Amino acid sequence: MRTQDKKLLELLDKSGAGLHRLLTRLTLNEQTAEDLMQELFLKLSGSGHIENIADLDAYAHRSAINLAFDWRRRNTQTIVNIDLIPEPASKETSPLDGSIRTEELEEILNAIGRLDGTSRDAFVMRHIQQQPYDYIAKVLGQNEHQVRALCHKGLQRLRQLLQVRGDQTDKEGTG
Amino acid sequence: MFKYDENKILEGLRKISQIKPGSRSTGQAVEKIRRTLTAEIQIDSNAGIWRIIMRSPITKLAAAACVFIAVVAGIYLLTGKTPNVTCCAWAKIGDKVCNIYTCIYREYYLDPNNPTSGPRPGYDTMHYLSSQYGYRMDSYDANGKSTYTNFLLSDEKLLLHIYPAYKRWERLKLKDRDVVSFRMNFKDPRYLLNRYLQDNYIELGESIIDGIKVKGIEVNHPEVYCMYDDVKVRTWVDIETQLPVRYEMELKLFPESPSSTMIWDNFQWGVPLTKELFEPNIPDYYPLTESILPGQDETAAIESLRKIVELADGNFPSRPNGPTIRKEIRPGLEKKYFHYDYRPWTKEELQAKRDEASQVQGFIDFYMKLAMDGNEPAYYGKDVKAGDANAVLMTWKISDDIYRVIYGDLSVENISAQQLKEMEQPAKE
Repeated sequence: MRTQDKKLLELLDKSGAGLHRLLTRLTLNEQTAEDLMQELFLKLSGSGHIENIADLDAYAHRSAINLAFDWRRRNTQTIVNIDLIPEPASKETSPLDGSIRTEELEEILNAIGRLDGTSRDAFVMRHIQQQPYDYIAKVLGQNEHQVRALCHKGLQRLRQLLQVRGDQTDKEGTG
Repeated sequence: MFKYDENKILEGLRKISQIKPGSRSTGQAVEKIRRTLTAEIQIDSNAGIWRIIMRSPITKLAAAACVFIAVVAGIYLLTGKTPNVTCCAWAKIGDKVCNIYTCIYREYYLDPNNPTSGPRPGYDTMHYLSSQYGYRMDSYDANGKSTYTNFLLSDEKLLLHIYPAYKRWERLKLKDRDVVSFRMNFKDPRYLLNRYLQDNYIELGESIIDGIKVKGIEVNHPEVYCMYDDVKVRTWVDIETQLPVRYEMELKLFPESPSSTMIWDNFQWGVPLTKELFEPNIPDYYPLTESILPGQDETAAIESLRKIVELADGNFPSRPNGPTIRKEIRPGLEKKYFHYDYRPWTKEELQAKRDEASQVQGFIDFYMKLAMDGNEPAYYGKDVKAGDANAVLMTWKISDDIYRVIYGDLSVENISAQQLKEMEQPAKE
């Protein structure tokens, strides 16, 4: 067995479940997560230089984040847009609420995908993987203070992105 | 359109961060990559083999294993219900078992007359679980002779019962992979431990089992055992390996029945299990009987209830569990197929009887699925007359304020929590 396959096996043992969990959270779909995880290992295996990567685990997690948001970008069109679903006739809470909550999460994830690279990774590690700041700082090669700032700015930016999207839709709705 | 403030975004992020894929789904994903890395197939990014694996519907077993995400994510996403926060140490144990893809264990009942003396003779079963191949159980009588073997084959969506003593076998076709997963979960210690950790468990502290230092948790009436009147489950984990060594389940089917204690022990985690173990190899001369099990959706449940009413003298089942329902339909079923001239049943009659008996499973499975998915089902069959369009027969939660209701005439509608509160009162009374 090649050295790099051994390293990949070690990575799989140590972080396979965590990577699958991360991908499931970012795609909200187990099946897609499984596909993306295979794609991730395919890319790692095909890269031919994993022996030179200092922290393969961190590298794999960041690659997984990239893959998941690439997938989101590719599939945005196919994700059901809640605005296309007609409002229920009455104003009472309806079973649609469940779908709406799912759509909210989809919208939040799509907006995270629009954050800048490092900011996005820091944000995902902090808010979706719930990693401590010192760990994120180590992975990103920054200090804790910088990571806190990245996450804070990420949240502000997210709010803007979601607000703009909301306003646009409101306009479309009234137009 | 949604209005997002910071709190709403943080709440959404919190929900996403709590999503956890199913153990079998993760196991399958990891195992597939492991097989490719270790094996047989050298990864060549140009060869396209990974694509073939990914696109193959047969190998996409994860589709059959979405139950846990339906439970965990479904609770958050659809009902908004917040599960319990699991303490870190136990959460890690839950995660650890999810990453083990094979498991063997023994199941038996304690002798009710003398629980300290050990297993009750004649109820000894070995279970074999593989994320890759499926599930097998072998049951033995008091003399160690095989009484029956069951297989649950994920790819084929089949449940097989083989009875060596009677030299016959039975094949049940399952509607879809979700039904396969649903059935497998009841015997999957990985899934069950994680379910218990979502319940209100209490820590039992440390103890010694078979010379091993263990720590345990106890759960009273976990939702996964909604079919029982009373259940208490204890799970004991080896402190050193952090793997379960013993499950104890005190089960009481009816209020009036005595409780029995089921034990799972002799665990072997992560042992290699070969494909051959999950191949039935049934002798050619064993006759086959075959049935199709209904799905576990609302439509199947209503059809099933209709059948139960027909067989149970116009009554709904008094309780929503298998043993009660089978007991209550038996006289009707026997009467329907009774021959006054005492001639033996034809093959066709036997098949029809079997199919009718199988059909009642739709309601049982649907009710259990609702309980397992956190939809809080409630059933009032004992007090509802068949055909009564005003009486609430069954309810379950589909969102924070909306309930689904089946009435006595088997019509269905959504109502608000307030409406339900007003309507349930007479039904309960």
